[in-house]
Amino acid sequence: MHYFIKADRFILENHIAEAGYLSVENGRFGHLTKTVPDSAEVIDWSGYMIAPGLVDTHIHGINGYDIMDGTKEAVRHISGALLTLGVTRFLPTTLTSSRSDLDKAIQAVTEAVEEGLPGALSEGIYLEGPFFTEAYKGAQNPKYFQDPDIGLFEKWQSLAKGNIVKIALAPEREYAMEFIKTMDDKGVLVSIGHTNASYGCCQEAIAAGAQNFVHLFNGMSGLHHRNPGVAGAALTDTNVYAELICDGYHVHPDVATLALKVKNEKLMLITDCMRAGMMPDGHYHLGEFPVVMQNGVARTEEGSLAGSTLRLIDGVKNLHNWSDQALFDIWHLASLTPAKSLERAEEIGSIHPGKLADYVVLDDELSVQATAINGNIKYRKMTTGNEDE
Amino acid sequence: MELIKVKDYNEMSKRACSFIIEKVNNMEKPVLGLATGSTPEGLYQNLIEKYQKQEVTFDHVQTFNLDEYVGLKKDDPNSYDYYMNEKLFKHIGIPREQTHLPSGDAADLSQEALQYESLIQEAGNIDVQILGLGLNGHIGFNEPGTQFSSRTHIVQLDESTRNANARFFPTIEDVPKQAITMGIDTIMQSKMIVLLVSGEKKANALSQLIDGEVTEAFPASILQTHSNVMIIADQAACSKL
Repeated sequence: MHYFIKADRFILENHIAEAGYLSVENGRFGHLTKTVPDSAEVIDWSGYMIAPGLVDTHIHGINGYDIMDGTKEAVRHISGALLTLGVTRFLPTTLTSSRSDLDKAIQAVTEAVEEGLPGALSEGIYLEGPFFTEAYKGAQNPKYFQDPDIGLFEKWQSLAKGNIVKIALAPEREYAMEFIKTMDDKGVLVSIGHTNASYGCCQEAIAAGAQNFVHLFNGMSGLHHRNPGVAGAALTDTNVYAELICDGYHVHPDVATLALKVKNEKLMLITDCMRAGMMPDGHYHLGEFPVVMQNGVARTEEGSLAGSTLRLIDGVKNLHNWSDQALFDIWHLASLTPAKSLERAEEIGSIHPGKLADYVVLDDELSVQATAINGNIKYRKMTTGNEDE
Repeated sequence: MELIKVKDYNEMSKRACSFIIEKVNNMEKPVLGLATGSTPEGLYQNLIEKYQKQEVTFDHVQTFNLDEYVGLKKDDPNSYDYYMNEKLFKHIGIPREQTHLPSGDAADLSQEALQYESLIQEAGNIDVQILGLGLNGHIGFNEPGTQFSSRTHIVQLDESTRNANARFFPTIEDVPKQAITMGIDTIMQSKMIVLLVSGEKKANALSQLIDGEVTEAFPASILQTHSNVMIIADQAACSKL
């Protein structure tokens, strides 16, 4: 199957290209050309812009469903909802919970993925917890916090049939360094978060193989000029990735742009979205905690931010508005950077010849008109047929 | 047929909203018939606002939608089920088990059609059915030529509809080929029908509906024979009357 996308603009890795035709063949991008042969099959998106599909590497739920529901239905609904928001790949993300709830969630994701998801595709499971520290628990339940345990991880990994790709932990916990090294050997990514580790401890964890920090500035000790802490470690190391929630609540806009100046393309936009995303204000729960969402902000009874209700594309728009950087740069913080962090940039994350044709069709307001995965348009904004009614 | 002329789309949506709310607030177990498409979106938005202002609740309401694509699961974002949830249901606190759409991925579709009919009957039939008007007079997925006696059934989407959608799908096989829709007789069984019409491009269709002959070539013309139809149409839609 070979077709061309005709559009006004294309977000490419280093610039936004003007009107042309983008080749899509056998589910992969080809080259962008100014003309096409008369016989070519053309999908006409004149007036629109084509961008690479977004990749959300930290998302718990959306639209009334959560990975911790432990049902295939929840995983499928999350996948479908993400598609409408321009997300083509995601990491179904768990949080700290009881052993049996985590088992159930991991099994549900594994089975749903095996049976095929209706929308955004899973790039593997992300375990956010349970090897965390109470001082920065956020909305994680400290009742289930424990020291890193390779045996326990192995049990989960076997339930997941090898599909756990990433785990977050607090490196100051006992056995953490050994655990990180083991993960590194196994090719599982390690993220530092919900932690009160010292600057030095974080550096040790990075040396042992940790490559990522969980939602920068949240769930960690802040930057102090005499005591750089976890945030300091995330900012000073130029090789590690740092997740950032650009909803304007989790991090002040000016601190977000400061982080961008320091981290550059290692800054990774995520949502940390929970079930109340895309939902009206009201009462929800996150794991076992009741949560109230007011004006789109979800908090626990203690007042902690309880995940976010951010849409990744809004994170892109926000950071673009806050900073003076070009849209194509900011967009890639939510597509190419996450792909690189997952060591998947050979295949996904940008519009580049040979990569899988995951793309989003956008209007001038950056509102999603259609979303394609592997070259197949899986979602379009207005369902037609009865459209003229 | 009662024709209520209003200024524009907003007025139409508000008028329809007030009417629905009055019904919902005054009935013990109201059953609403709902439609997809762009016309009722304003009505749904108004209903959500009224719900937020606590002027109406939907705990006691049942809804039945006209149609659904065949082959799409409920969690497919292209399905009408998904659409209704996004545009209305999840915002108005209605228990999802009280909202019904024909199931597009039922193993036995003709069985599903029968079941949908009996569900409507068990609910005591639809009290108020919201309808939009297709340019060619279609209602639901009942295209011109559909028998007036039809009940919930499977329709083949015609080539023009499929071709219109085809640009969205790299292979024509991916375009839904069928839909499951209430039949015209099913719709006519509703105790009351509220038809929403907006915009100049609907003017011809509205004129044909009101003044034309009753014919299967223009499905909506059957509404002339229903004893309780309210048409809410804006000025532009009424321009050919």
